Order: sequence, then C-alpha cells, then structure tokens
Amino acid sequence: MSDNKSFLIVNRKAPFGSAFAKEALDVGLIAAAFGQKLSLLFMDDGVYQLLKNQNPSDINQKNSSQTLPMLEMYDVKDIYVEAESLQARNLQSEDLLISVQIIDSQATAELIDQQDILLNF
Amino acid sequence: MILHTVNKSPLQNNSLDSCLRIAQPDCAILLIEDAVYAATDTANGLISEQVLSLHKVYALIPDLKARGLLERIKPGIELVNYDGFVTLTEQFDSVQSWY
Repeated sequence: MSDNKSFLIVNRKAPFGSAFAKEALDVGLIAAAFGQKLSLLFMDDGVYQLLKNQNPSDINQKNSSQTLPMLEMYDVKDIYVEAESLQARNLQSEDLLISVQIIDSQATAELIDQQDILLNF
Repeated sequence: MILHTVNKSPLQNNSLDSCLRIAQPDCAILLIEDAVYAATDTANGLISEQVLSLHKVYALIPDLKARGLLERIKPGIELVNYDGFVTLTEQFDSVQSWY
C-alpha cells in the first residue's frame, strides 16, 4: 500500500440536530482503526459536540459524546478546536470533555492547508 | 395569539432572527432541538432582556439535557417538558414553526 495520507475531519455541526456529528465520529474511528494519520478539527457549532454532561436518553438518541474518549485509545491525539468558535459560544477548555488543542483561525487555516484529504461534516 | 417554535441553532441559521422579527408581543416562543442553545449562555445574545420583556420564552428540557445545557440556562427562560409543549400548543390559536 502507498504511504499513509493525512486526513482531517472538520466538524462544524451541533450534535443531535443532524446525524453529521455521529457519522464524523464513526468515520474517525474507522480511519484510526486502519492506522491512518488522522486529525480532528471542531469549529463553529461543531464545538458543541465536545460539551460535558450530554445526556440524550430522553430524546432517544445515542450519546456519541461518550465515544469521544475512545479516540485516544485509537491513538488519535491531534484534536483541534478553533478558539474563535469557542469564544463566540462563551466556552472554555474546562467545558469540554476531552483535552484538545485550541488554535486560532490562522493556525486552523494552516492545519487545513497541511492535509492530503479533508472530510467535512 | 401564536406559539412560535424554533429548532435551529442561532449561530448557524437565521430562523431565530426571523422569528424575533415577526413575533408580536402577545406571542410566546418555544426553543426546541438545536435552538435550545439560544436559551443558554453559550450562544449569541438574541434572547435579550428586551425579548424576554416582550415575550414568554420557553425551552424544552429533554433537548437541553441531551446537549449538556441544563446548568447554563439564561435567567428568565421557562423550562418545559414534552407535556408542557403539548399544553402550550393547546393554549395558542396556532403554531408557527421556524425551521
């Protein structure tokens, strides 16, 4: 097989209102299981996917946020959050349920620029 | 009198803007699904003091709970369950859904 390509999954949607968040995580875990070079970026409403204390039992949905800590088990350590998106939502790193690297828009642009493959959800 | 329901995130969609532009003072606003972010300190200030002085604003508890928002509700917003949702639809002449 050819050299591994670098993948970036860009998460821009809030959880539950659509299936994007769940599907992005599924794709991320599969890519990680196949040993791909994977990074995740959360920006815009996508940062809401990382909020602590999510509990969708009363709306009959699966709690994908509980799967997020599994990313580390799969050796996915490059998880980025755009600072401006957090700020616009009055959120701080303490509000998030996994540890992430918070980067500004310029660094976000560079992150996107460095990738071989971009997957948008 | 109309019950306005909104189900989109205020930061990703203009449904709530449109609702607030059109809603008359005797109308109520019910935030459901992704619109519940507007009921918290995590979204823009669309649900302002002025809005709260003009309208009764409700938010749906199961949607807040799902998104981890129950501890972050803005003061002045009333929380309702599914039963309360049904009661509201009975109280108003019609329901306008902004989605």
